[in-house]
Amino acid sequence: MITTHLLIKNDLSKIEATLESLSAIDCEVLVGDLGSTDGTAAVCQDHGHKVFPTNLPRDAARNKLAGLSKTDWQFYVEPGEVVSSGHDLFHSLEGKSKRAYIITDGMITKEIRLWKKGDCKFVNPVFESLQPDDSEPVNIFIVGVEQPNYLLDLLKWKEQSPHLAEVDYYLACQYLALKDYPKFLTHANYYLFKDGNPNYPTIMTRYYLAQINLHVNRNVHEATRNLIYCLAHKPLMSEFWCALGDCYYRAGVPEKAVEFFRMAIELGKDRPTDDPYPIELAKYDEYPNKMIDLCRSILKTTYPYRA
Amino acid sequence: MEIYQFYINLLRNPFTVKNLKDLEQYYLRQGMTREANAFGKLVASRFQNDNHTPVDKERPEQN
Repeated sequence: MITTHLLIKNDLSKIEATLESLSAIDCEVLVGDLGSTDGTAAVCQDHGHKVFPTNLPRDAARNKLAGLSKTDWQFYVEPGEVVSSGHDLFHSLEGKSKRAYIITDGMITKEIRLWKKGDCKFVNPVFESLQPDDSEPVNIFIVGVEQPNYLLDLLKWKEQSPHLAEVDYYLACQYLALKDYPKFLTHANYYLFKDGNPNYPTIMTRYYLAQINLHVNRNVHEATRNLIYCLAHKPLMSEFWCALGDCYYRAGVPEKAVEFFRMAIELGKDRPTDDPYPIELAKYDEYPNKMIDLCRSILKTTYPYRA
Repeated sequence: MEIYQFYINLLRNPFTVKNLKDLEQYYLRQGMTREANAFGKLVASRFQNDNHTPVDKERPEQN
């Protein structure tokens, strides 16, 4: 038996699908209500789940729900998410905390979603995550939803902890999702100034900086500079090679772009799927192949002597 | 750092097998076997299938 946690706040349109999917797992469901006014809490109660109203920050609310649980293993989902496969694995859990695969719009991310009570705790009032991160992958797949807008909560957190590097990281992520690129660039650069270590958030921040520099600011040089950093630390990520191919495609050097798209395909084959980094599925085959064809057709028509 | 220079060399000339070989050796020295093997396979495939330049003969930049 495991306990599943849900934090809700006006999620009426998407809660039903999540509750339906949880009914396929034999689990107790504890719901933390952060102030719904649209009847989401009532729907959860209709499904027979206990609802606890709370005005705590998200990390404290989740820790409180875990404290109320009577089982060893804990699991959490977000409203709108649906557990699509791996149901049988919920009842044979042992050892370390587990990272589940979250699939959203052709992108796979991995998050610690299953943990043993007492082994870890949620940290951060927004974009809360479980720490310490001593986890291993498990073949549980969840169909995800778009990240809600937490900007106001993040700005409040920034006011409380102006020097904390993580706040700038999450603000950068939030502004990127909101397509506010000048603010994304500001906070991404603040974050990289504060945290110089090559780790998941710095590498991914540099990748997104490269994408914005390339596609929005048209600054190929800056994009390439960031991508070299990403590749130096994670050379098997096809996404980074594709972005490098994009730089050379945009700079009008299709023959070099072809080489980098080829590296995306060939090196990407050896990428481990169980690392914590996200996977953009199309970048491992479909996208680089399409770009190679495009570059070769440009070479044939524009520079027949180079093709 | 050494690794960044290897990538800069690769950007300058991705057609030269030596630049891939340097990366293979670098990751091998770092104990990153999976990465080193992946570059090793790339080096082998470039030697076999392509008209890529062998290690000791650099092809001049094309643009």
